[in-house]
Amino acid sequence: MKRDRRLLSRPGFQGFLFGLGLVMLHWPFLIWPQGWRQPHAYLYLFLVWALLVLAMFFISRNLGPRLPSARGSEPSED
Amino acid sequence: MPGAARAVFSSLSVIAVFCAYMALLWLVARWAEEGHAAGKSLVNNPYVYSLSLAVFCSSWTYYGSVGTAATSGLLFMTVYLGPTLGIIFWWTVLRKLVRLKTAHHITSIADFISVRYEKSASLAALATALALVGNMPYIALQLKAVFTTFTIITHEQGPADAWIGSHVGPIIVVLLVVFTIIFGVRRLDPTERHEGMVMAVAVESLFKLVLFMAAGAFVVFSLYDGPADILERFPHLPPPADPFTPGQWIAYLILSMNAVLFLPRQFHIAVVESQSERHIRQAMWMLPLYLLLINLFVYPIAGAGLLRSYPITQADQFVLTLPLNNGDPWLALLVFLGGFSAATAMVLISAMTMATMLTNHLLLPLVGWVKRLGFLERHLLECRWVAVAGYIVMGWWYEQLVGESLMLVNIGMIAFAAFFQFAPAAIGGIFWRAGNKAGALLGLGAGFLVWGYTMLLPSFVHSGWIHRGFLDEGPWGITWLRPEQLFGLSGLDPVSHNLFWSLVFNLGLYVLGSLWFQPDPEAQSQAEEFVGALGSGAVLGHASQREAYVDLEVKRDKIERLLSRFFAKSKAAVMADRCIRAVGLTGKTRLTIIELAELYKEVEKNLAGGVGAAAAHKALERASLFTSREARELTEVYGEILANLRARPKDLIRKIDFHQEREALISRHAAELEEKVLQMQDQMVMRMEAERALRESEERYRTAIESSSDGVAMIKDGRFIYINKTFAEIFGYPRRRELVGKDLNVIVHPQEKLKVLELSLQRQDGERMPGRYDFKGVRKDGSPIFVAVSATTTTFQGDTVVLAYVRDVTARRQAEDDIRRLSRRLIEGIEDERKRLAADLHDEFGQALTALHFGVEALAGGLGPEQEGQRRACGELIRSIEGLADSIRLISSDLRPDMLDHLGLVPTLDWYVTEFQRRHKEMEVDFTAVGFAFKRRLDPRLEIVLYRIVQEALNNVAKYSQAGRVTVQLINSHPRVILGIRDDGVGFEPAPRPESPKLGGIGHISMRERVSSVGGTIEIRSAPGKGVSIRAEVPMVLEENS
Repeated sequence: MKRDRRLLSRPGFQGFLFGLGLVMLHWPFLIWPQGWRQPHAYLYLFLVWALLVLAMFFISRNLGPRLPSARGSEPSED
Repeated sequence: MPGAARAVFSSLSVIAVFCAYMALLWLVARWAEEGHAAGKSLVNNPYVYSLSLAVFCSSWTYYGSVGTAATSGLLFMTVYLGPTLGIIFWWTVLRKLVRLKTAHHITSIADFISVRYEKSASLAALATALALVGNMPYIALQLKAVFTTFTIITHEQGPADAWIGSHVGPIIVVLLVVFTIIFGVRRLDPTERHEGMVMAVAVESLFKLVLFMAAGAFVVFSLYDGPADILERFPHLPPPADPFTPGQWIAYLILSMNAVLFLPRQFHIAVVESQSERHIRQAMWMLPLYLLLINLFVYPIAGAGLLRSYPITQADQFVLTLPLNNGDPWLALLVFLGGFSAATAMVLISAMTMATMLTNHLLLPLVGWVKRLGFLERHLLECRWVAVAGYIVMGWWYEQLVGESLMLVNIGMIAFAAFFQFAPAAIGGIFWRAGNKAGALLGLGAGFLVWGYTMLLPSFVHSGWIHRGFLDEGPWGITWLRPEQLFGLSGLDPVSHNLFWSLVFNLGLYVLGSLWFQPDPEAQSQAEEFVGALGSGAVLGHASQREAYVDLEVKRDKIERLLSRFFAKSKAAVMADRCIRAVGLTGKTRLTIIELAELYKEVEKNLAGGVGAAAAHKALERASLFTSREARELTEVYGEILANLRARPKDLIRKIDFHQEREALISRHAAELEEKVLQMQDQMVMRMEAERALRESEERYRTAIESSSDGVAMIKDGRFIYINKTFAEIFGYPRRRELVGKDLNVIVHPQEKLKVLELSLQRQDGERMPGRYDFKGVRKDGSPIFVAVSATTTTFQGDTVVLAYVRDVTARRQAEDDIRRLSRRLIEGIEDERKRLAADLHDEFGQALTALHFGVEALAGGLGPEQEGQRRACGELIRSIEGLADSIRLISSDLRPDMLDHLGLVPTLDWYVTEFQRRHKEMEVDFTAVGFAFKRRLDPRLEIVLYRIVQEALNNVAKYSQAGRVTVQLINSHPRVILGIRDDGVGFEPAPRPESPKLGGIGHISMRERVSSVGGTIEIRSAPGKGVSIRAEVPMVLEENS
């Protein structure tokens, strides 16, 4: 659980999710230039969308308020 | 004609409905503002924040998405999928923006860009101009949606409706201006936060979501048999009239991703109105979820409209016309209200934001240049009202110009493309340290031009305002300058085309300009602060080793004068004092140069909240708050610091930022911890004191209990839960644990088990029981033991238990028995002796006196007449002998009346009372015997005891009572005999203890002992003047063989 939490809260994972989302949302056009037939594409895109919302729900649960570190490290991006 | 709407509502009633709706929103806003004023923010929660962010969904979403879905298929989804993807990075991007907003009192997107790039007024003005022009199509879009749907849903029923119908534009524009001023620009607020308006927008977001979904549900479930039914019919539809390309899909995604944060209204809600970084976390999933829900029915609604052969040119209104034409006008009215709600929310926020930007970044700099306009600084609020009106009217003008020629989505995309121009400067500003003012100016300026040329001008061409040849052949016939095929780039749709050239010019020039021109150290420091916003914050030095020579009063006057240029005098004075207080200078008269610098920065920050950072910076520069000496010394201070640290300014600022932020954080944490520690210490001391007192009390109690000579036991539900050592010893148990947990019965003699158990349980149940009693117990070895118990109830570990103190009274009971036995023997001995003495007196002396009597009589009978003297002497002697015989008989009766042995108690008492009456004629004596009609007599010992009590009592009456009446009653009350003697004499003071010889007298003691010797009880009551009452009760024992 702790590892899951660490993974979800990492900016790298957010970048990965962005990339994955971008690819998934383009998939109907990547595999067929004209896109899928519309009802299928409609269902597919909403499914991907819902999964993205779900993923962001879990990510948001694992994001803590990160104030500047008071433990002596140099200021850094998070 | 299919799709031709059948309007059923009058214009007047619809206007009344949405005025009522706005009034309701106004009440909601007031409620939020009053809560805020009372210190309880209703807006400060993630749900309101997330819902207010849904202002992104304007009437473009509400109506335009359906239009796009009908003409271009799924392209409409990109406007919401883009934000969903972009929001993934909000925890980094938006949080940075919020933190910077807090540090710099940023009031708008233009202000943000200006603050980042050297507080550049020109950059702020450019950004404002871009926002103004870019927003114009967006406002037009909202107005077009409202006008069109208003026309659809209303029809003219009278002259008033006809007038409204022909003036719908001005009426709605005026209403929107009024509402915007009431909701958002009612007063100047240095924080630029509007809790009431945010709450109203959140409510509007909820309202439009519910109504749009209601319309969707109506279409899917009422007009068709569910989603599957309608989706199955889609393949029969003709292909989209305006199919999109993958390039268009990507372009829309990118523009929407940017728009959700950098549209002026989105920036305002997401950043300026943000109250807590924590709300971003919830918004990261709530806003995408909202977008998903509001789009769920878009495609089915569009399909339904097309399946019913509604004109595709009216696709934007399908959501309204479908319920209106299919028998649900009331739903249509609500849907119209939802659309109106979506449009007004957008207009309110946009107009308010733009008014702030216009006055802060265009008007105030203008006032700075044109001195004659100086009076406007005192009328900033009124200027904002004018700006609101002008801005909305401008949108209306654009709507009138292009509204007929473009669909909603096309107008919206023009705006999205405009605001994309902010992206390089804004994103670069928080992630790229090298990004500078020159780059931002070049990039933004070029982007503005590219957008205006490739997006705005073509829209004028489409409206017919500019000649078509401009679009097809280029200006002056130069084809490579054709707006939609710039430099010969063809094959792209207008949006993708603009995006491409925006990236080339805007991003390219931003990068090149930033690399080419070197920023000054102050700009570098600002860049560091922005890029490292999540790691550091705004700082000011704390050096305080300099001489305090700056007169605070003088500076305060200057600051107040400066502030009063923008605010009312009273407010300026309050703000000046607040700045002084904020930097901890209250009470000081002289300042060091460092303290003055801190004050300067605080004033600038506060002023920036009202007029924007660039204007505030300029105003302070012009105010000449530093004298030349102060400016020189400040330079020296910085020089000294740099020299001592041997660091470059850039490194120094970074380190100061870091260490001061760290120090502030540590100080804050330390203060919080210190306070918590103090609170905990207090609590600990109190708790320790209480525990110590409790321990001592427990120890004392335990010691007292353990060392008690009495046995102590706690009993719960008839079982021992605690006993002390003495208790165990009393009952012969060497170890306490042998009794703990055992039943109470193990120490109770079988004869008394029931009695003791009942007493224990009744006491535990709270019934009133005797506190002390004796019972017969049994030791471990089986030997009997008498114990005296004193018991009460108490609480132990939350339960009610019986606490019993036990004392071994076996010895006392034995001594009492011995005394009683001895007493009985003594009494019996005395009675025997009296009996013997009485018998002796009767037998010996009686017979001798009888013989003597007869002898003297015989002697007297033998005397002659001459012996008269001797005869008289004999007669005297005989009388003496008779008197002596009477005395002996009386004494004998006193000692032991013969009658008692021969006739029994009742006749004897009757005789004795009669004799007593005879001797004491001054009083009346009564004797009554009740219940003694049977033949069996009482035991002789009992009879003598009762007789002696009567004898003793009547003797006392005769001696002391001065009584006039005495009653003696003997009652057979089986199984007891009750004797009562009562007189009406003088009485006596009762003894404090019955056995007290002083008050009770020897006679009473004798009575008690006698009664006790036969196992009875006696009660003697008296009071002065109340006589004496004696009541003896003895167990009835009958004579054997009688």
